[in-house]
Amino acid sequence: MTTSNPSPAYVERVANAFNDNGLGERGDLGAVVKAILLDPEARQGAASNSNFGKAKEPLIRLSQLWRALDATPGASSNGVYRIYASPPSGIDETFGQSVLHSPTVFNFFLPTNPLSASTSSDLVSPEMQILTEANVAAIHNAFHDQIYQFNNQTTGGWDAVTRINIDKAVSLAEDTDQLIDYLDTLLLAGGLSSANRASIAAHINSMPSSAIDANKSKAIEAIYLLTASPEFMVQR
Amino acid sequence: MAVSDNNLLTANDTLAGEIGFNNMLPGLHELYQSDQLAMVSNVGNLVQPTSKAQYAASQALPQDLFAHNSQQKLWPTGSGDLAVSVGWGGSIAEHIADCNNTSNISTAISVAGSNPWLSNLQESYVSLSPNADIQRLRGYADNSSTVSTLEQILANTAANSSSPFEKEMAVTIERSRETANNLYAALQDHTVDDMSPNSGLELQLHLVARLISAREQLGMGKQIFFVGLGGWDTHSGQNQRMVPLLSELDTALSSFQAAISNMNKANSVTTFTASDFGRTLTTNGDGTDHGWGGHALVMGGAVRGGKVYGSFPSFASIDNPDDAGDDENFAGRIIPKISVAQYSATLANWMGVSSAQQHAMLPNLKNFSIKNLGFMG
Repeated sequence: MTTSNPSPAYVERVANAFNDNGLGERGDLGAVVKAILLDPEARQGAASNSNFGKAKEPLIRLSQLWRALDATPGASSNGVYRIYASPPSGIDETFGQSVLHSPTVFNFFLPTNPLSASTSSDLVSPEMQILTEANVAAIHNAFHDQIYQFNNQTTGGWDAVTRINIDKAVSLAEDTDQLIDYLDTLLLAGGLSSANRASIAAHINSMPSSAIDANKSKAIEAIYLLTASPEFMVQR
Repeated sequence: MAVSDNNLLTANDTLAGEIGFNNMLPGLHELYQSDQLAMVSNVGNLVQPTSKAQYAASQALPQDLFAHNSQQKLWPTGSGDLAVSVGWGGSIAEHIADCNNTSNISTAISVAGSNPWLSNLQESYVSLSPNADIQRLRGYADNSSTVSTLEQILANTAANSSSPFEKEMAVTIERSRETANNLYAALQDHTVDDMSPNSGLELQLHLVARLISAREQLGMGKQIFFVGLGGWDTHSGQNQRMVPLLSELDTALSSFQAAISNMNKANSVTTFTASDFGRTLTTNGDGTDHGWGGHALVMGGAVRGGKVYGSFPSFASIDNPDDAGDDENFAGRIIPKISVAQYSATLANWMGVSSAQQHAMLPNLKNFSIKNLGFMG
């Protein structure tokens, strides 16, 4: 829930919470979850440990974008938040996973998957097992479509796609720093590096402010670049 | 669980005598009859030759026998030790990589996801999806500020991030963009239309066939591919479930081999099977349990086919010398007589890996007197 490579001490503290929730009771899962989320190692996070963190599952990234930007179902979707994949792929091929569809009883990925295919580090990253060269591009394109295309779809079955609400981003777009601050806090938990922030700001600032729908274009570019950044894809 | 004689396609082996292929395997039967398919009998994870008594005394056994996840890791490493993380496929890739110096594509390609068989310290492998044409990132061809900003972000993170996760993510995305661009053009030119895939495995092998067809265009000298077909864990309904499974296996392998032959590459491509384990000879009435030794198939023009390598174990249910159980409690789990180390060394040898390199990548090989099973010509 918090990090792919918890220290043995962290694991022990969580195990102790399972054995005794403080009230002498064993097996209190609420206490276990609390122990996982509130442990000092989790609270300090990357500040005290550069190996802290985990890769976000592709569908977690998508649902995070939806939640953060108040997604609404498409008009003809009967209230269902539809996930789309470009044909001929299915959802599994695009995202490496689909909801409740893990291919075996061993989940979508194994707990021992190494972070790097060249195995010189001990770090594991289970979620990276399903990030292949094929679906990296497909996921990127799915996000691109969501951010640039889906809000405009009104016909041909595409009117069932899920839409994101970018109004707040648009309202801040005149001030590039405010726009990036807002999206960085909302989507990256403030994790955008200063160098990447500078690159994105330079690009946004180079867009003409006098163009029609300039603020909307800037907001969309910012959302795209921030969600295409590695800092969005990793939770720390 | 026995299959009756009239559901078998008969074939012959000089030592084993008459053998039978399940009649859902007409294509593979035909390949065996034309000497392009060999069977390796009773192969499995072993540290050293293991007798029934040695098994009973737990001498030098592979770790966690009979569990899917452990055996699915030990077959790819050829080891008995779960801590070993380098796959023998990855080791082969490392040793033959200098055949691919002019290529931008990695030597090893998986079409069935991440897997330990291709894991290696030196060479990363590429994972492709069989169900979709290679996608390139939207806007890849635009000379736009958006794309160059994304490139800056990725390059900066790959070089400077303090988080190994962010770094690896950036590197993966950069590698994917490069792979997609390099492969897209080659695959557009090589559609291998004589395969019309109907199933998951056939789709995977179709992509492999296209990548083999595009070999020269991609600048590849030698290639390694990983494909997969699951569903064999038949604890129940085995006879019914075998029908579509065997049919898929047969059609996919046969149509792949035919396509490869049409490219005049039959002698250059060898296909082999691997599995976590065989099934038990005991049954719960409707299915079987996790076994140990099983049969493997090796297919290709360079294979010395039409033969069974190794020998069939005893099928007795009492006093079975090959059974990993005691005489009162017949386990139905057959102790392999051929190890994964020997099987993989034979294939590595065909790929041009030297004897010294084979021993280095397969430490258990030294425990067996036969280092080459002889099924490759």
